[in-house]
Amino acid sequence: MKNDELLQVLEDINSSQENQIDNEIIRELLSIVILNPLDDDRKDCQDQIKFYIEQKIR
Amino acid sequence: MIINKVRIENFGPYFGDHEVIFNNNGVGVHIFRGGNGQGKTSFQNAILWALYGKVSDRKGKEIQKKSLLNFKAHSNGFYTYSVQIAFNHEGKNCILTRRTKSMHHTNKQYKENESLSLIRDGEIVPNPKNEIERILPGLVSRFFFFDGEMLRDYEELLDNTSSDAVFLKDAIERILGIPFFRIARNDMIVVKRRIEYERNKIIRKLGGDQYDDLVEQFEDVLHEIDQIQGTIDSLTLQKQDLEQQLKDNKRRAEDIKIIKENAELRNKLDGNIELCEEKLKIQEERIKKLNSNLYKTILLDISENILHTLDRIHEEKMAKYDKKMKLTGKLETILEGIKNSKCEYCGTILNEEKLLEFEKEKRIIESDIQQLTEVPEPDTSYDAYRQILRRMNQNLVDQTEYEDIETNINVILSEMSEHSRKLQDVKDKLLDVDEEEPFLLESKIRYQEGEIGRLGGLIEGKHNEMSEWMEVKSVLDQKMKSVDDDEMKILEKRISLLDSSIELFNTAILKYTEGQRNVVEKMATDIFKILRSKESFSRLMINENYGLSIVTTDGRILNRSEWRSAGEEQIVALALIGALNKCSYIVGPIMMDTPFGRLDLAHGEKVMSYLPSMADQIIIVATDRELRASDLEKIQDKIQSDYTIEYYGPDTGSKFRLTR
Repeated sequence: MKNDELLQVLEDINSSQENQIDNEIIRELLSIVILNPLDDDRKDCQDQIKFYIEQKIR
Repeated sequence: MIINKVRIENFGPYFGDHEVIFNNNGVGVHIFRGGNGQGKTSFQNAILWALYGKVSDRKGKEIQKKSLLNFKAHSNGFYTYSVQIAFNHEGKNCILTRRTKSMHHTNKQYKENESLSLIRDGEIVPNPKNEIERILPGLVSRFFFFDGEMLRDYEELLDNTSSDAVFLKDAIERILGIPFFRIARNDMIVVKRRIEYERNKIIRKLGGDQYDDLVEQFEDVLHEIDQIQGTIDSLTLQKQDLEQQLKDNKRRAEDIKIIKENAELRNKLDGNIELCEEKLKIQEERIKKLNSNLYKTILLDISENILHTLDRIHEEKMAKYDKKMKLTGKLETILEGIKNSKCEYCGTILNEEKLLEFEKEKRIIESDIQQLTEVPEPDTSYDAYRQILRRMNQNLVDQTEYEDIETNINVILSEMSEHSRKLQDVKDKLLDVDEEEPFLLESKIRYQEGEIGRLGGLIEGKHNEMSEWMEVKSVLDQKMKSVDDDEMKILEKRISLLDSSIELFNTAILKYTEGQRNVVEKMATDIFKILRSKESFSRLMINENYGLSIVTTDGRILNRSEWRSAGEEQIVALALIGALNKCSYIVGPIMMDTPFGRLDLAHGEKVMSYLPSMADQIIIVATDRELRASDLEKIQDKIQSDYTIEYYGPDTGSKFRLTR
């Protein structure tokens, strides 16, 4: 429920931005971070974000 | 997270094994009642220790691990204690066990031998510590497990800018989910940097002086930026470390304030005693002076007699002297008469009878003078001696002066005795205490405050430096983009996507924080309206630190000093906590220790009625005095378990007794 709220905030801001991002990308980036919230998770989280971006833009 | 069962072994006052089952699978209200010192707070501490491996006292100081072992277990040589929590989280059954077994009763041994395990639906969860942090972060645990007595501290903290306040603000933002945006933004910045380095490698591969220079410049800039960021991180860590030390020192200074006061009192008493000794010396001088005159006083009678005798002798001598002088004068007159009785020229007797009479008188007078010839001339030194004796009379000791001195001395001695008694009392208190510590702490605190300010300035300077390098980087970025290569174009697109995402999350941090603040304000107001005591209190208003003020129906904003009753503060804090739990992305039990301690009957009743709606699982730990039957009636249908905690002495310890 809370995650949806966070996502909604991002999507609302995104819709009013000049360089809009695909909502699917926003959702994925947010979910990666929510699943890796700890200091110990940072390296894994960054790897996952990088991997996702690389898959998305190739 | 809903707690179903807690098992405690040799923890705090609980000797041996104890099991507490939360009926209805933990959902609903669960009451733990008991008098002071029965083990209620230790029960909450046991749960906190199982979750986070440490517990703090009411002053926020961590309780030593060896102090957590049960007394009887220690006496019997069992250096083992453990707590197990069975809970349900997101539909999965979990069992968390923290246990420590030591060979020696030392903090180090307990810490080294501590183990933690988490089993979820029958499977062992790797890194249980991190998993617990995901389920219910330690940072926000204070909003789920709290002490009613400490509620008002939240409000107090949120009013200032101390590191504690920053910590609390972070915790509130964490509970509201704001850090997710921050973490995402920071991670994306790191990822972007990694892609930028990849881009550099590709450009190098393309070759050519122009590209080499560009990459070199770019890498130099990145190197500078990384170095500055490294310095900022390092300075920030130093600053945070110092802030933590400062916080600890301030807390310690508060704790030992009494030592400082006693040390100062001791110095003051030492000074007072010295002053008394000075006063005594003055009185002793007065006595010496009086004593030096005392012999004169003792000799007073003798000196008076001597004076009298001297006077008498003097008068006698003077009388003889005067008589002699008179006779001498008279003799001269007679001799003149004899002379005149004879002819001046021939010596013929002119009047014989007269002459004979003169001759006779002359013989008598000469005889008298003869007798008086022993009379000395008047002694002038006599007057000097007499003056000395008169002065002696003036310096005679007055007895009242002795009495005055005695009174003074008694007063001074009494003062000295009082000061000495107090001094001994203070010295006893300072026994085995480092009385220099408060003064050392004071200078440490001053140094740390100065150092924190200095580091803050350095960090700001580095941020400015960073902005300048970022501008240089932006120019080089544009040049990079102009490189015509397919692989480069893909990397540019990735960087561009990350740039847009970073900007998006950055904006979200600001907007969401502001939005959440408004939501918390509204929710806290809704709760406050249920709990408030005065109809004139219209709503709550939140500030940027999440501190709350009461707004009256006529629009007046009351500052804390205007509504500062402990009960009212507790209500406002409870409204804040209730709102945070409603807004939180974390689901956990609410466990309140002594929730009604500062509340009057009316407020207590309202809070009791409201509590069941705060969370799915409510655990109330309270004294019987706080739990009135009439209040409990109102939530009768919500109460699932009712335990009494009783302490049976050091041999048996505390026990749980299920009464419902």
